Amino acid sequence: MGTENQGYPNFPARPPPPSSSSPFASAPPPGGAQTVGFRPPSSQPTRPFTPSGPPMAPPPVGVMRPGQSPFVSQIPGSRPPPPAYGGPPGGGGGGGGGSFQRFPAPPPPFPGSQNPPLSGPPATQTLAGHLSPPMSLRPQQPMGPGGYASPPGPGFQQPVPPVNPSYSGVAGPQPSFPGYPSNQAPPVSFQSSSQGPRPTYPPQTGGFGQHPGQQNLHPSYAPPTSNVQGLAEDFNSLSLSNIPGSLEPGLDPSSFPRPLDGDVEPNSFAEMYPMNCHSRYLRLTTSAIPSSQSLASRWHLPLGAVVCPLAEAPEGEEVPLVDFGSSGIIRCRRCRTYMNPYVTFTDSGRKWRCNICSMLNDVPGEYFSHLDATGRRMDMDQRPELTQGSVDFIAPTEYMVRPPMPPTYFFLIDVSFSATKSGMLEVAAQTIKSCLDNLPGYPRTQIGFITYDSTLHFYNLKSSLSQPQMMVVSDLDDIFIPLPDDLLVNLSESRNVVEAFLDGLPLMFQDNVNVESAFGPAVKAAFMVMNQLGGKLLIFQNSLPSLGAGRLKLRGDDPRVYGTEKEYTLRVAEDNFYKQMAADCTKFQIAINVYAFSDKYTDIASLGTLAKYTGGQVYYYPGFQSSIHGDKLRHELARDLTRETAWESVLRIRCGKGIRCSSYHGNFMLRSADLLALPAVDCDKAYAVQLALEETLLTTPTVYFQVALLYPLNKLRYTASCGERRIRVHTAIAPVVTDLGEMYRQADTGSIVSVYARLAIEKTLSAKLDDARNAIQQKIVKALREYRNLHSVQHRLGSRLIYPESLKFLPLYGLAICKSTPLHGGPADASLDERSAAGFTMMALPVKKLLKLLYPSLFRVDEWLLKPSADHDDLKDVLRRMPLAAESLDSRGLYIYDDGFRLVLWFGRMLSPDIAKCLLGADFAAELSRVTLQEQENGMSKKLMRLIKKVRENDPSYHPMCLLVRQGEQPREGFLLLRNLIDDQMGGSTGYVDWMLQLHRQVQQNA
Amino acid sequence: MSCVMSSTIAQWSLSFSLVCLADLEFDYINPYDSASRINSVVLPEFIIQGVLCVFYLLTRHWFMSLLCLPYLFYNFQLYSKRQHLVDVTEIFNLLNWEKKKRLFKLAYIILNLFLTIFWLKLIVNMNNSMPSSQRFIIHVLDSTHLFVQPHVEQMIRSAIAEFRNQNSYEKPT
Repeated sequence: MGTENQGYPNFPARPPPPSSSSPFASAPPPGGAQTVGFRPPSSQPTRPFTPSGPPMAPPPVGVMRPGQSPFVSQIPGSRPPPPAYGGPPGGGGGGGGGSFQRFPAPPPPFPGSQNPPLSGPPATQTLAGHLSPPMSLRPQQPMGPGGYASPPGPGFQQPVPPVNPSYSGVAGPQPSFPGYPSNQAPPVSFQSSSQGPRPTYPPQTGGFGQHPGQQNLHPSYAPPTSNVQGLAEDFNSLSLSNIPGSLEPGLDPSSFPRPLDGDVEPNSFAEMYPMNCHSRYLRLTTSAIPSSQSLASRWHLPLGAVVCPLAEAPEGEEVPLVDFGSSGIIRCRRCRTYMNPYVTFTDSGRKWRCNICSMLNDVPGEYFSHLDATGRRMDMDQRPELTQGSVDFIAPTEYMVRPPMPPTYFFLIDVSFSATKSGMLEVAAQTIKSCLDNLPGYPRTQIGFITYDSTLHFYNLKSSLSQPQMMVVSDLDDIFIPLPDDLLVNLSESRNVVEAFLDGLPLMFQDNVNVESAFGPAVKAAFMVMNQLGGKLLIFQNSLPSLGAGRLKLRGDDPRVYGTEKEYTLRVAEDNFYKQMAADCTKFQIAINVYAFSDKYTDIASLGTLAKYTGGQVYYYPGFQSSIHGDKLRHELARDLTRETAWESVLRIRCGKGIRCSSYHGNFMLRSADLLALPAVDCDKAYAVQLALEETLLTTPTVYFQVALLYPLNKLRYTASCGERRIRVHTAIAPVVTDLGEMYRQADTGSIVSVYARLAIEKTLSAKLDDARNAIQQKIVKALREYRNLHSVQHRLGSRLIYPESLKFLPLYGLAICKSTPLHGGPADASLDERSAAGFTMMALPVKKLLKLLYPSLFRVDEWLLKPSADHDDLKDVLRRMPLAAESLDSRGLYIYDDGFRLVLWFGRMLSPDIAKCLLGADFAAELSRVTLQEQENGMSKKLMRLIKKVRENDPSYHPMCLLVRQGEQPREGFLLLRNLIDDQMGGSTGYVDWMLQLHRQVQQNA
Repeated sequence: MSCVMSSTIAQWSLSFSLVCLADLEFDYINPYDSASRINSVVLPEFIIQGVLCVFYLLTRHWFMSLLCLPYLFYNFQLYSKRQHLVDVTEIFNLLNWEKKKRLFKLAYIILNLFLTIFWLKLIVNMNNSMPSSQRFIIHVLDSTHLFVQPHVEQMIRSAIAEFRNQNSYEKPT
């Protein structure tokens, strides 16, 4: 996927091309790069124009957007006249097909053209130069004659697209996408290349390194080359010159930056400080901390971090375990900082200076080591805590209020009519049973069950019984526990009874016609059973709580509430019972996970509150049907039960002097001003924190951050550890800077977006959706404006929208946040429950996962499926992401849309029936909403299933469910896919282009 | 007298919750205890304040009761929106706002108290400024009543009138 990087105008200082025509950055997009059969299945996946192309590619009749004239010459006169261009004018206008044929012998100019970039490291601007060879299209770029630059899209000047493989799949020979810019580009490039002189012309790196001058994407803004060469601009820009008036004709959306590589972490910084903890644990929004409050206030983006303390480390990078033994954990006496790589030893090793508060501490005798000549400890190499940013300390007993409790799982299962009917009960019981072997903490694990409808049913699981005993409590106002113990039993002792119970559970209630739900009393009862031990409470809820305390009303069906000031009340817990219950549960170390299944309104906003404040999570399966959602529930429940979980932990973030954490965002409850109480925490949970400067001026050159998570670890079975206290410590350092530009340079989009998303979701709980969206927009505008002001003095910015390289995706992600489920549209666009559930989920997601959800990947698979030789795992090749625009979809293709939570398989209308038949078997003509994807007895289907499996394995935290949809199958298509095409303008929401224009207009207005 | 008492109680309950909040901020107390303590004095404070307002009305101190109305209205609004109690789950996010709110209320009550006993203070000061032979206060009953020598009534009235004149502004014509 390395190629995609090249697609962006990221690379500021590029040697100017010898030829002066550089402004015409209109790198011709790589035409039909990737059609099956269009190119040999060789190792040159993206090679654009193989000779075989023309025959395969039917003349794209519809290539042109209707109103688009061949050389839409939006190009103002400011451009120099195009260099000799011998190409037939029809190349641009006549349609891609024709033009292809006109350039029959491309291979020479494109030898192995785009391969190298594939292997190239992503996002390495510095490599631009080295990688220049791959840029097959580069030669043509400079030639991009003014007039020809345009065909791809009216008035669009696009430096890079050619390299962008994702476009290539679509472009070229596919007639169904009229007007897609890249369609017509190939001719241009070919033309020029065939003209001879250019192919040898290396430096102009089309998409890769962007020549400064080419940052002006719009033809109308074409500064003289000399000017451009003079200054290496420190930023990227988009020219949006024709802002007032017609928007469409002048801009090419495909030139806008898109995160098709997924999340690219800024790694220059990690290299600078190799002893920092890995970014999967701690990601600062900017790796340069402002030195003063005034500077911090000019940095309009959030100053903060996203912390994922237990993130899963890949093989070989596990966090090392350190045991200080008898000397106890070494910490600073004053600020309680843990020993870390950044402390300094003085006084020939007898003292150490705390890096956070500069306090001089004694080194305990057992820990003493001599220093070498450079002041390093001799035993440095044997001490992971002195060389690595992330370590686990084994904590002595005084670090815990009480000895580690056995891991406790308590299940609260709704057995009302709808639960049995939907099959939820059966799937849940089976899954729990199958996970019994893998529950953490064997042999101490405790387990218990309560089921409820209009009454509560307790189960005596005493090990001496052969069958569980059921006790029914029907007094909901005054809950009592019918049995003092044996409701919560040791799993290994009562294994048989538990299994008997789980086997019998679905049968026991299969004829239940009770539709009531005494949810509140059930939670209370579970609380009473669990409050000695704490643990995890899993609630399976199928309908709106209707009885007892915490009963909820149907709300949200009054459309008049929307758009008023009261709108937000629908998104917060209705009854105070829930907040109170959540607070009590946290106090007693009970983490609640809510599984909701109803197709009707369940008030997730209220139920989710329980999960939010107990460090839990909400799983929502609207309209659960075991045949459709069964797999998803099975996987996610199994994951929830078996992943490594830390119970009753607390998280504290210590910052260097002068900085403090001002607010925290995520699913947890604050126990004191800076201590997060996490009754349960696991690798799939991340927390955002905002930082504030306490002092007006920071005098130290660097600032340290230390995240410490204290948790008793209950290993999975086989290690048979019976609860060990551990402290996971992540330490990071960041330089303090006085320069705003540096802050922008070191910004981390992923982290910023993560914080923004959480802020926006929190805002929806106290304001209208509109306000929350506007707030995001305003924040981005402010940041860009500040950045503009920073540069407007030295540079002629004209009407360009400028942004730092590091934040090039920020506007798009901002748009994606506004279009995400919790925030998008109006009342009709998503049900209240969906919004709330998505909101709760997003509050806990780690950065990468969140970015994927915000800007999901879309890739085309039909070509890959047809390719015979694809036995080896060339997944990288397949999973090339495309822009999320309707233009990316070809009606003859099969696409997968993957946002990490579901996989939507989109069948083009003109997809060859063979493929559909192969994949779907006999059902291929049926309505796809009723069809589930199953492996068929043929290679293609197996291949696809393998791909899907791979995708799922990449990220086990959720199980993306496969949904099939056929083009034109409304409204399902719109709902599943079209609505999520972020770049497009869909029913009232803003498209990417408009969004950029809005931003730009606002940036300029008050500049 | 009762006015002073109720003001004092309101003051006390406000300061109590302020102390709880400050303790919470510095981690001397956990949020559960803090919230329950604060919540236990919220309603008493509201009631006392309402009573105070009614007292002013009954004793026909129109100005003072007017002064109390906005406060009463604010409290009423909070109560009717069910936002008068602090929320233990969000207490840290709302800490600053809760503190500010209570500080303002405290200042308000203190102003109230001061105005209530202002005239008394004025007279007492006058008394104290005189040579000891001429002091006229016999006994201070409470914050609004005192016994004085019979002959000074006129003097006190004129002093008050003079003070009022000094402190009122007439538009020059």
